[in-house]
Amino acid sequence: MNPAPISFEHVTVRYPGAPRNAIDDVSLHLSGGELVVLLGPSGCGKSTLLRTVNRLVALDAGRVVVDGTDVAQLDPVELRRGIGYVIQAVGLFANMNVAQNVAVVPSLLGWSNSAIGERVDELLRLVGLDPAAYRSRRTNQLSGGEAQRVGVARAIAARPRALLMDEPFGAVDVVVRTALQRELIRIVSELRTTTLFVTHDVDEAFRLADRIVVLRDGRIEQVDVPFELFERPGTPYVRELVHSGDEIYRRYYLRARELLRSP
Amino acid sequence: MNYLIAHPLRVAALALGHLELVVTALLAALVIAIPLGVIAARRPRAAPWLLGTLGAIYTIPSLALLAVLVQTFGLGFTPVFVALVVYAQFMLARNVAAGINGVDGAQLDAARGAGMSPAQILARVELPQALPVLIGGVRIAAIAMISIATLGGYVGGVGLGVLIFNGLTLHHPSMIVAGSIATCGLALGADALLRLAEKVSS
Repeated sequence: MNPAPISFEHVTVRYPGAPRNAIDDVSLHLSGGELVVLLGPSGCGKSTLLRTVNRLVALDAGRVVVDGTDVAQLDPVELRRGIGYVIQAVGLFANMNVAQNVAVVPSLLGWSNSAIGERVDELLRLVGLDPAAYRSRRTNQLSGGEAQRVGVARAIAARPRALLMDEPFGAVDVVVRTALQRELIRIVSELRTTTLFVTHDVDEAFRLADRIVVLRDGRIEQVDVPFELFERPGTPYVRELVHSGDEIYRRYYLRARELLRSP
Repeated sequence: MNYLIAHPLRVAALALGHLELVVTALLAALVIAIPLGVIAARRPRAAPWLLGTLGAIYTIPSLALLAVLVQTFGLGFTPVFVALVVYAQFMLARNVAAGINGVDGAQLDAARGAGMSPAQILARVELPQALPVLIGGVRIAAIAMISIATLGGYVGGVGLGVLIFNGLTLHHPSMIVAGSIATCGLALGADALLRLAEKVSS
């Protein structure tokens, strides 16, 4: 299935009783198959912006267009079945085993049992879990890293045309996080699903992003490819954000990434 | 004990009637209490009023309630059945609500994000996880109902209460003892069975 382009057009969100707009007139376009990272500190609106795509957050102004259709025109339940969703707390269903969790969206879509069974095994292998060992495990028998692998498998089970990931690796330790990031790059490049990825971790953004969107107080501060964002931050805010931490590592990492990318 | 040994079939027949009364009342009570519990879980502001009302009903002395119900339904099976259904509401509805509220928010976020409708979230995520808590409520309700159902002997001529009230009238202590022991046996049996169900379901 073709990956869906996603457009935000003058999107504004205001929560009742909040002093300012959570999202303030944001416009942004994601090409089909692109991995865009929303980067910023907590409270900058990155999760809110992500959740407008599958209508878990309603707009006060503007529109979000997925694959040419304004999402407000679609039935939210139908819309969500076509968009993968991964959250930091994972949220595996405690009354289902691993296979049943992965099979949730395909079974909602009415796939046959045999198609679901095959797909579950395929997905577990894709996220690096042995189907025979994990298929019938209870969710409380999984480590944090294993649980999030299952969470990713569940999100991509029905071959969504877009994938939303809200700090998916924020709760796992550094070693596991790095492994998961590496595998995510592999999985997303295989699927070529349009992916919107929220994080506050600058290194994670540099590792994963085709483009990075820096958000501040609900507004876009800068949009650029990682190398440019690092070398030419547009504002003091972006400079401070990307140059706090291990600067030398980042410089070499991004230079190396640029070299590998250039033809 | 003499009566129990002398008339085991009579006691068994009354115990069966007792059980029939409690089981049918319990099933009817569940049909009402599950929707009430779902409403209490969905409307956190209305929940204290709803559960508070059911709790207040629960504190009415059973003999007084039965006296009122007999005015409406006459003597027999019905007034006891209705009393049992009414009494069970508090314990059942409260546990349904507690079970649903016990499902963590991340699962609900994930369920919504996966494209489940509110009814599907209830049926596929919330109620299955509320089941052990609900069975816990059923266990407590069943024990209370087995004990309250002895009043059926007084107003309806059904259940093991018949032995207790006839024994009182006839000054026949061993009849009272037989009815009491059999009632305790039912309660202990129900407790053991439902404890097992609670364990298996969680």
